Amino acid sequence: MNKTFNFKRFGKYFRYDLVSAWQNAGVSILTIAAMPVWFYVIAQLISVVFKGHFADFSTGGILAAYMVSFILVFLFFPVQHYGRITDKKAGSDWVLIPASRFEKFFSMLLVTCVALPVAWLGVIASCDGLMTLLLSNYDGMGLVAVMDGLKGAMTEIHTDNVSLAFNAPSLLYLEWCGNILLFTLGAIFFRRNKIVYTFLSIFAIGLAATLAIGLVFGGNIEIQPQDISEDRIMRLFNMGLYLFYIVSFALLDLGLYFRIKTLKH
Amino acid sequence: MVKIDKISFSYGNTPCLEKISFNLEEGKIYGLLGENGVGKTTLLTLLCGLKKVQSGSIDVDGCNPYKRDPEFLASQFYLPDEVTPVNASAESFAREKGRFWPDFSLDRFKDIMVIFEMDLAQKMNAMSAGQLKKTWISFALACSTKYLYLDEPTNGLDIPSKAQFRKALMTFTREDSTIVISTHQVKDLENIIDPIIILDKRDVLLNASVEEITSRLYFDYGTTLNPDSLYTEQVPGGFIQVYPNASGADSKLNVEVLFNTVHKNKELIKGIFSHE
Repeated sequence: MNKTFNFKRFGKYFRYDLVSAWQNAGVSILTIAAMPVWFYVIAQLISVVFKGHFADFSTGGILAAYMVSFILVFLFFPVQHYGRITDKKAGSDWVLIPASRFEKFFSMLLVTCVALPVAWLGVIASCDGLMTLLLSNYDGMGLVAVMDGLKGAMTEIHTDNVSLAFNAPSLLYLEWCGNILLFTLGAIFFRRNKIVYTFLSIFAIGLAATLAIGLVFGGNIEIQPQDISEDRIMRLFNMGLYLFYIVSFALLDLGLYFRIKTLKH
Repeated sequence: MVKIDKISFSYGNTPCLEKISFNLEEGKIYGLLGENGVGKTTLLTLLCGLKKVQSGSIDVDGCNPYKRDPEFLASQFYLPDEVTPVNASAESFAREKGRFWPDFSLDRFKDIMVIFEMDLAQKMNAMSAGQLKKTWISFALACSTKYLYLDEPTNGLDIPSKAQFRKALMTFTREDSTIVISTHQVKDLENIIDPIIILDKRDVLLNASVEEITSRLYFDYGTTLNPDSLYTEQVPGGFIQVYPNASGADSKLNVEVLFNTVHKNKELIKGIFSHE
């Protein structure tokens, strides 16, 4: 049997990881993904108390609920589900589960970057659909409206000289993956105050990167959009963006794998 | 077979184990004894691959435990002193987790839970510490692994549960299993553990079967003091004394007294047991 990867064994582990994710963080994720419901309830309570009547709940409110939900998922899921592995009791148990380090790492990627966004979007879409059906003052088709809004607002950026087009949903997904992997690394790297230390690390790395860029280029970067073609800006923009994601994911994946590999209790 | 060869481990600048060597054979239930801080738990965590030895080597059937190869992990189970609660019923926990161990049997798990008088439907995160420990012990035994490492298994168990644990251990372990039980509660396991390993920071003071121990040391439960006694303990109605068994007479081993004897006469005991 292959020591690094075996489909049957991985299947068992992935299933176990999913079941554990549900046991450890299922209720929290349901609560967070149902954020539009909580926002709606709070908005109605405030309206009834201060205005004396129910208020319409617009796409803006829905968008705010989605944003809060989006942020809370990647802040709390990694800590609740994977954060336990730095704990002596739960971590010893996790380390000794008969699956390879790579299988544990790969399952972590699939859970955080595939299963979790699918589940989150499923709950959000269900809440949105139900609220649209049941509530007359809820701006119907909220999720579709938001996706349309994103598509309309973000796929093209117009300036005086250039017009950039890019794939907003895929960027949103890459943003999800980047954030969830970053906070998962924080959750399995730090033994306590995982979220705070992750934020501090991001701040420190950001500061160091800014200083390094400043030192290298000495503040002499000048871009004259009128001097280069629209196509070239497009290509540079996309290349820079995807290069940033590729390098970030590679570093985060290496960090996660290395941490799993060297975890001791 | 487990071969431990001159292993050392320290926590920062504090040495824990220094050049410890011994072997563990198949089909035996080893009792691992030692004072607080000599490294019993550390040794178990090194054996199962939770920690990496800093020097020396551990060889378990040709595997280095720290590599954590899946097949190796499936051949062992380590039960720590403190176990973790799971947000699931005992039965669904065992069903899900048991898939990883090829010889795991859910029926065996249920049978052991019956011995412990435990409710299979009870949520593990609603259990008391003792109930949780019994569920994990049941799971560990149901995995039927070749190597089983138990760290203070009777800690937190009530009096009937200790007897139930002994019964479960004797009934549900494989003939060829190597079981290592680290414990301070020697009376709980006195009639089960054989051989006995007494660990010191820098040495293995004793690694011998009960038969070997009683052939070399005599445990005298009498009323008169023996001048050759290596250790004497006053008990109601007399003394328990230990002295070299020059005549080869039979006596009943008292593990607690043995431990104190070894602790007080480290070099002498090593001398008695080193020659064949």
